[in-house]
Amino acid sequence: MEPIVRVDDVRKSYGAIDILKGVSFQIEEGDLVSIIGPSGCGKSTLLRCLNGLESLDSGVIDICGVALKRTPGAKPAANGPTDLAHAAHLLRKNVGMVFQSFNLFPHKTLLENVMLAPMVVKGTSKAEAEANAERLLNKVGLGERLEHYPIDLSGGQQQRGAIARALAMAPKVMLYDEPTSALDPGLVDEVLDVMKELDREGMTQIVVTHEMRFARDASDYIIYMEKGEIVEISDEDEMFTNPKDPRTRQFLHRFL
Amino acid sequence: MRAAFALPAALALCSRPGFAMRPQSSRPQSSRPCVSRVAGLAAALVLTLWVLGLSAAVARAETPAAPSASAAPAVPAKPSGPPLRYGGDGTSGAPYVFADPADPKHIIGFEVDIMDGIGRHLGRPVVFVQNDWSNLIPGLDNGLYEAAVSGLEISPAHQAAADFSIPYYTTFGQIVIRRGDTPVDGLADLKGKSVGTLKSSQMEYVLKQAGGIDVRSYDEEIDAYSDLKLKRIDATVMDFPIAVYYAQPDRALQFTGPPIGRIAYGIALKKGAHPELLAQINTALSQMSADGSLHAILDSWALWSPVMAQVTGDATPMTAQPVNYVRFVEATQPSGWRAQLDRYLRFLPQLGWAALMTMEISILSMVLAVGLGAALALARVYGGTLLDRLAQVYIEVVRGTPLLIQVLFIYYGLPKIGVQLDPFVAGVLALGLNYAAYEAENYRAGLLAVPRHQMEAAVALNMTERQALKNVIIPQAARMVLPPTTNDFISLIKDSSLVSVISLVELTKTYEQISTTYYDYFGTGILVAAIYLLLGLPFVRLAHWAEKHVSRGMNRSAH
Repeated sequence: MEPIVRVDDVRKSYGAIDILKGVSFQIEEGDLVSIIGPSGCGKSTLLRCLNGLESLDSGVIDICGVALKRTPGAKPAANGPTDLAHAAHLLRKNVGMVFQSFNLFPHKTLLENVMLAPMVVKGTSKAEAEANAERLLNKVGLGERLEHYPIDLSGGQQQRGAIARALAMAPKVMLYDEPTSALDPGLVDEVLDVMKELDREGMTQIVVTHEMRFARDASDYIIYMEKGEIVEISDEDEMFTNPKDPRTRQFLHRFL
Repeated sequence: MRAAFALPAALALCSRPGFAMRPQSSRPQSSRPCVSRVAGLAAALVLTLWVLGLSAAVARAETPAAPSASAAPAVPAKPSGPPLRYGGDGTSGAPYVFADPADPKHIIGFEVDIMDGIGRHLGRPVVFVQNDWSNLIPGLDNGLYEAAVSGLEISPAHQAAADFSIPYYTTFGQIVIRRGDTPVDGLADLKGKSVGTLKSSQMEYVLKQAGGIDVRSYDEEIDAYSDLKLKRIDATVMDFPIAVYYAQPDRALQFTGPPIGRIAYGIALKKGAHPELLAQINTALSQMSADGSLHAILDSWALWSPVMAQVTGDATPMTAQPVNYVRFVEATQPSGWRAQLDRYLRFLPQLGWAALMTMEISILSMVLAVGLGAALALARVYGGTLLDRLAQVYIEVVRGTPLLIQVLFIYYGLPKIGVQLDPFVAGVLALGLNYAAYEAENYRAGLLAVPRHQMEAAVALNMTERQALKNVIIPQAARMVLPPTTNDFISLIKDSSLVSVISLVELTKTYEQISTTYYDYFGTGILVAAIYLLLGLPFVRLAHWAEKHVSRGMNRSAH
């Protein structure tokens, strides 16, 4: 089967610091993949590259047949900033993203948060956007909170709302950047449960996480990154019971 | 375009219903049709924004002028020619051109009577245009009016800037001291003393030339006499007519000493521009002098003096009763609280119109300031390097230079490069452009206060930057900048008084007119301050309400 996400030799640096040093992997449709690794290993940057929030220095990112690419050494002008922005825009049609700090729009109710992007970006009618938003908020267990403003919701509720907001754009791939790091421990599971539910429905999901239990329980496989490189891609059980690389073993040792 | 500009001009004129001319004999209320205020406001708003977009060559409005309702007994010719617009400063006090103490809606004075007489001789109705004294000559250059009066002395400095008619009045400086003080015999006796006079007047020059005198220059004559009575200065030397009207009726003051110097007032015209009109005015003045009508006017104002007799060779005695002088003294004499209250009630309609003018200018300026300020702020934060730099330069230049200079520059300076604006448009433009710089920095702070993640979240939802700004960033920033914007608007209402330098008569200018006429800073001051307060309060309330209304979601609600 053709992979839904293809990442080939992606490189990215900020000045003299190389953040991503040639990252390649592929993901099949319906997989839930966790990316783990120590802080500063480049996993968040990789995720942001995947939906065009960061530009690449070189390499290819192809999601659902839309490619962001940059030939090594080519000047940004060669592709043209408009072309890059346009490609990123096309790519994001299939990609939703959830952030560590939720980033709901504070001046809008939960319902309006979920309705906004379809209406603004796709021109969806208000009635249709509202019906869809209600459906999604019910699905993430927030059917009773439609008219609440984000500030009146718990962190777990806000993050579930953010997932519903991303789902409203009907993405084929969902990206999560440490979705439970900002949550009180008691609120983590309600978010992870939503992600597991989506996995059962066949959503392709890529999760940058420190939540090893979740990585182990829910992932189809795990990518371990360190210093801008992928050290190991393994089956979730194998990664935890029998890591191939000594660096992986050392990292996981701290959690187990 | 030319036609479009007539509207704000008409608006500006209508806002000064006070300045209808009134002849001495009969007193018909001259009413002027005024466009609907609401429609006018809306039209002026559209025009203001339009001007902003254009800000290029702009035509001067053909200002409609109401004919002065005058049935002249002496000259039968009915005024039929084009109106003769003349500028004067209604705040410069009696007896030149000033607000009638008995009915401050009307501007009267011996110069008004003389201009009426000239108008009859020329067969043209005359229209008075208010302008600040120090800007009377620039106003000529700007085409605001054809002629200017207001005790303008025929001095070398004035003659360098404008053409002057033959003198219509010749007089001298009068020394005034407190009653009971040692009499003074000429300038020599004033050495070592502090002496008050009018700023930029010929007497100021004479006093300074005399040497050894501590010269104190005042903007308003009544302030000088007030300080004299309060013993802050030892004497005043001002033009004889001023002394006749402000010192002579005052029992605490007395005239002393010989006449000082020689002062000749003339009618100023734009330098080299209207030789025929100058000749016509000179002919009219000569005729009025010859047929005794000038003498009669001056008698009615109690201004005929031996000096005039000598200059004109007219030795006839008084030809008319000093009715205008008597009327002035009666109307301005201290009176009981009931009469005082009546007087304040009489001001109210005039102050009401002035307040409306103030609010028109303030609201339109604020609309401009908010719009341009928001554009500048967006340019600074999201516009890229070039736009950011340009916006920064604009803000620094506008914020770093005095508003007064900007107002004068836009109105009197721009015509040099062919941009001639109606006073109302120029005033709104100057205030709006100035406040935009302050608003821009407010709004920039507001935009920067919205967390960066908000933009990221919007972009991740595939909004364009423009969509994100419109739906996510600006609504949040707007809530934060509401309080400082309200603050600036209150401040703008007060700063709008600066436009009086370009001939717009708003609240502060009206206050000056009334207070100088009545010599009453206390009561009118409280009255006008109260009006300013009342103007601002509804907006403060509105802002409170809006703040509460739009800040939902910004504060935790109570459920």
